[in-house]
Amino acid sequence: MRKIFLIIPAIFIFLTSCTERIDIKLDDSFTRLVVYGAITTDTTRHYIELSTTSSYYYNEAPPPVTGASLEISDDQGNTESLTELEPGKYATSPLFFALPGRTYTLRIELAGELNGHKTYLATSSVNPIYPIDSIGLVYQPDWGEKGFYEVTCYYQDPPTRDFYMFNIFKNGEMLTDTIRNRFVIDDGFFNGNYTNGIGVGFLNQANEREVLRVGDTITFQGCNITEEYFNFVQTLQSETGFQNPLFSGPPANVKSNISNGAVGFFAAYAVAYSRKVFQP
Amino acid sequence: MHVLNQTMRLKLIILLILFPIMTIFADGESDPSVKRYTVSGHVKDAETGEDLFGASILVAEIGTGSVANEYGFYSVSLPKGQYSLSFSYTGYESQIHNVTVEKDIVLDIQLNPLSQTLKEIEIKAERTDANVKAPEMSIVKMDVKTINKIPALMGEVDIIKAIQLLPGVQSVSEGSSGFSVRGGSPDQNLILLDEATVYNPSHFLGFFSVFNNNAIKDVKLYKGDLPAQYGGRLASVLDVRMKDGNQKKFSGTGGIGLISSRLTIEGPIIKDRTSFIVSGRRTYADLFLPLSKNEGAQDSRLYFYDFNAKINHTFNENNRIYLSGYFGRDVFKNPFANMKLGNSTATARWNHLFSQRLFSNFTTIYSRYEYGLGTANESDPNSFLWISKLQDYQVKGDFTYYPTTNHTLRFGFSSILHIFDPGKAKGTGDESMFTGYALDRTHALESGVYISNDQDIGSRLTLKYGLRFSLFQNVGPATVYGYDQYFKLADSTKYSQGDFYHTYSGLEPRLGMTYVLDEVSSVKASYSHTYQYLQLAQNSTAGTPLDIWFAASPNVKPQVSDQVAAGYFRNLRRNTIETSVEVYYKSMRNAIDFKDHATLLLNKQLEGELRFGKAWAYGIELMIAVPEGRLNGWVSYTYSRTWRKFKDINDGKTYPAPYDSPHDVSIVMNFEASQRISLSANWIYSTGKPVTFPTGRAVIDGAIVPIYSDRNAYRIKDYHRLDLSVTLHQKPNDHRFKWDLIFSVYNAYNRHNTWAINFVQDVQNPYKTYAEMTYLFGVIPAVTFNFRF
Repeated sequence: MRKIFLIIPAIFIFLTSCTERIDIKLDDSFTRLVVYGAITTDTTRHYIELSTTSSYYYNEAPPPVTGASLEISDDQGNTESLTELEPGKYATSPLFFALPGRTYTLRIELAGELNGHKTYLATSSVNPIYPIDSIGLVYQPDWGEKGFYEVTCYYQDPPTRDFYMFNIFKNGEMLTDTIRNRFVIDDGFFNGNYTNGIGVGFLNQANEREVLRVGDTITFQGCNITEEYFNFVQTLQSETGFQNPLFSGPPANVKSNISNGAVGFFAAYAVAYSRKVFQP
Repeated sequence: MHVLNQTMRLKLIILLILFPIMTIFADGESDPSVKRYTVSGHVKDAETGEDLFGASILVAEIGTGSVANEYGFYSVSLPKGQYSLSFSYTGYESQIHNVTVEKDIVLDIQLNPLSQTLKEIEIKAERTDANVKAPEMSIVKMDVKTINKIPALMGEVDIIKAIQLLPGVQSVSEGSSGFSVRGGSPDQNLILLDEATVYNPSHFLGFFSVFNNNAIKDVKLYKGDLPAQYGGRLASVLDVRMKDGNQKKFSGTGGIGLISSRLTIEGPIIKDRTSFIVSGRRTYADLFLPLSKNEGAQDSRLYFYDFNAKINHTFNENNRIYLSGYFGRDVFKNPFANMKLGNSTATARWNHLFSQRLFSNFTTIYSRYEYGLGTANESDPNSFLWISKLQDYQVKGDFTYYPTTNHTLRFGFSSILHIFDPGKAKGTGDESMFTGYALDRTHALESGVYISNDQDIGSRLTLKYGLRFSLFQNVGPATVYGYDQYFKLADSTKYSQGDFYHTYSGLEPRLGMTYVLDEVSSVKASYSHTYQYLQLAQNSTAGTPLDIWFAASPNVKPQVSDQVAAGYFRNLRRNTIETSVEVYYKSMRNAIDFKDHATLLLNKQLEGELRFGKAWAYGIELMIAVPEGRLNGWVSYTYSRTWRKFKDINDGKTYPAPYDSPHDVSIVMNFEASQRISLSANWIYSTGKPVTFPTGRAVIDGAIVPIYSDRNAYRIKDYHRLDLSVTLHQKPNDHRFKWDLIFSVYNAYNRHNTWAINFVQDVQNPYKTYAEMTYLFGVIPAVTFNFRF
């Protein structure tokens, strides 16, 4: 809700403003380890990707960090070793799943030192699963050129303070395929209430990938995430979103949960699903 | 020991301030054996009856005089004798009155505005030397006539945009009404409209200010050396006063512009005793929205309006009252949401003369800033409404006592009750999913008493010294959260209704001196110590209308500033050219900044997002001004720096403040080419503002995430812009209806000044990034038709 105000006065600015590409020379900084990956309550392969930071205009895929050994352990003494399937991409076994209530620790042992450190650690806890009753698809004809379908969601929010991330799949393809377009929200304004059709995603009917046709299956994934991960996603989205002197605070680095100055996040969360076949 | 030192310091300060005041009564001049009489009265405009604030009164025989106050009142005390009093005011014909003083005399003066032809003669005559002799520095007074000549964005003449062209004053962002004075933040400016605080002076996200030129009489900006009568802000006071209304005849002014129209009507209800003014303005930019191809834009609404009204009545020569008010609203509406916001102020004033030497004014003020923001559809379970409001109730009394011609003593009090409703959000639908989230209403009482004296010592030295005592009290009911050393919520304490649960106070000495070197030059110096108890939770440089004000509290100490300034003032060519050099150094304690990624809206633990540190600023300001004549205007250059150092920001390293812009040049020119045509131009240059850029990147789940440099380690490109305008006046005639037509061009050479810089991920190659600059305005021509009758 805090974000919605961005939309309103923006009309005026975009009536007159223009953009152009410019050249800006940027300095370089030292190289850091980048870690990103999540484990969920689904039984499937879960991936952790390792790479390094680069100069800002590197313009290529990030340099992968290969040959590291990764291990995920829980607070009950169980451990899972990860295998490097592709350079820099490490996976659990296909039978791996995380359990609500447990705390998981990711331990990374690099082949060589990076930035003075060989071992990196990160910890994340899994919150309970909250079942979703149903989802709806509501057409909003006035939004955008061809209108939007708003994905609405019905479930009971528990009395605890909760943080959610929502993903949308169309016929099995993940539409929220980068962290930049995942919907995150906290329950500050509806804590303990029945959500009664909260908007949790938008399908732009001017965008071919998101167009809904009769018979399409929309799968909604509700993730119950930690506050730390919620902050990570939210600040990442604001740092990679449109910055301007009206609404943006001073740029600042996105806070990581990895030790020793590494960048990125190791997340663990519970997921619940709801499906709907599109019938206009 | 510490307490003792405090007490001793306090006594010393009081002694230093009060001792000179004692001298008023010990002064040879006020020797009781010499009977003194008072000449007093009001100085007014002969055509409209408006008070002339700042008109100067000179008694030729003794070489000193007085200055008319905000209400045009003056008073001089003289021993029995024959005197020649001259009254002068910029833009008006001077008058000399020979008076025989043998009893108290009331002498009301009506000065005639200079006609166009007389102006030509006047520039050859002696001009007032106020620049050199006035016992004040770091002050700029602008009249509306000057402001009207400055080319403006979309033809909307704007006081705040004009102020931003002065040395030491900078716009915070392209087209913004926010301004930074000598490196201060925009919330360190006290903006007053008929003494009422205006908490958000902008319309349309700052592109226009709330001040409708037609309703405004004059504007005074104090950049430092704040008089003791003002308190509560560190950087400046912008004192805007509304016209009182024509006392002589019914008249009107108005204008039709590209984006707005204005109409002002004023006139006497009882000639020379009661007059009124009403003024309104509304924009119609949204009338063009239906032309837009975007359907969303077609259904959108976007306009503002404002309304000023004032009435005054003179009961007798000792009593006059003024009632004035302002109401303004911005309205935004689109398919998603709607929003309304604005200020309202009301001021009631009573001028009372206790004697011919003791002038007083009592004021009661109400001021409010509020906004409401909600979803377009009010009945969905998703619908919500979010409101926020800040209200002030204020009483104040200001007294001016003129014991002798060598002293002007001012004293008074003020007390403001602030009522904060920082934010309340609730669902509006029948089956709403929202619980509602409300930040508690809080109260604070901000009070002050002050005394100050202007004292002439001999004919060359004038001292100005004063002391303000300010008191700030948080009043319950309230819930105050406690934070640990990591700014994490530690506890909360509840206070009951009427409980004065926290108090801050401050002694604020102000000192100034002016030493006249010769007829055309002087040196001046000043020192001021000020406290600020309210601040804006604004994390971006330009701010938004949603930014809320919050008060000092157990967690937030008041900001404190010490400023010293010195200057050399010299007039050339018989006072027709005014030049000045001023240097200043300002040091601020308990400065406020925000933690990284702070959440400032609808946050009960806002205070946990604050970080405290220190800031300092210094600079030199050069100005050459030609106030009148066929070619008039000014050229100014400022070199200034502003730094901040916070333990918890930027790893504790010093960084330039967001408004740090070392070099700043303004050239403002107006040329009366003929009786019918005048040309104006202004050119602005300033060093690009500091920014934080990435020095590396990480690719995280498809997103290119920047790794940043130290805060504000880079700068955007330098800013410069030329604006031009041509005013075509109507042929001189005797008709009552007069008009002029103004053609203006904003950003004449189409400079693409950076408003925002973004690093964008290439759509084709997601691993590629490039820098993209957004600019707001290309060349913007406009035409405005103004009329008077």
